[in-house]
Amino acid sequence: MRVLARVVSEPIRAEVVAAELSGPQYGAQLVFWGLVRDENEGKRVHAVSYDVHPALAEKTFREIGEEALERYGRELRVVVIHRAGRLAVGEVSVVVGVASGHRDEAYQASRYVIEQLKTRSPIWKQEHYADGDSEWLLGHSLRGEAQGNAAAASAKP
Amino acid sequence: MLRIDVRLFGAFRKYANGSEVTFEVPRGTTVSALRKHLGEALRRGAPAFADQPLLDASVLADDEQILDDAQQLGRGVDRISLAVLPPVCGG
Repeated sequence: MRVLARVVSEPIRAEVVAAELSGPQYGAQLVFWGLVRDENEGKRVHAVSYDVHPALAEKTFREIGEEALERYGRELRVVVIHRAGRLAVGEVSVVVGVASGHRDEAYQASRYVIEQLKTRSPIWKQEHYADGDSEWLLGHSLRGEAQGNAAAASAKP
Repeated sequence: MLRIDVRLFGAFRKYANGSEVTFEVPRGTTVSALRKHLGEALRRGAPAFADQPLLDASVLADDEQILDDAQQLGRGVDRISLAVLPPVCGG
């Protein structure tokens, strides 16, 4: 498998990601770590709860990873891991790892995967604020994402 | 009739104890029409339901894929399990 796609409820360990990206053919390993930040749009954030549809999210990660291989090279290795559940500030929510022969395709593939993941994966964020309030963040509509649905695609806002 | 279970995600978690809603629709109902039935089911459980715009921006999916709005449901089955996916924001 050239693409590893996982939704996990436990912390993501760096050595596990590194092991998945190792191999004598790889001259570049690039790992993007997404973390929970302590501020969003002027509000102090204490924690973020990630709600995930696991089966569909893993399938979407695999599809995005395969697209990255198509675009940037079949020899690439792509690892996508996303946390589910409540995470404190500073915890890792998502990892995108790419191993490749050279750095250029690793940078391009990494950027492609994280940007696509954010707008296509069935994942939702609920921010918990210092004042005790909490809020589900607005996101990107999946209308138009159904395969072969021209009608829905044209209705996309 | 066809029995539909819809799992709730994201901002829809505030309804039906955050799990799922179940209702019946005529066999052959389209996904597009199902979205309306889902709105009615949510409204029955929460008369102050104010998330119609969110529902309009949402899609319905099974464990494999997002369903096409024109797709008809219920061929050869009595009960199906779906999920309602509001706009997403992973990462």
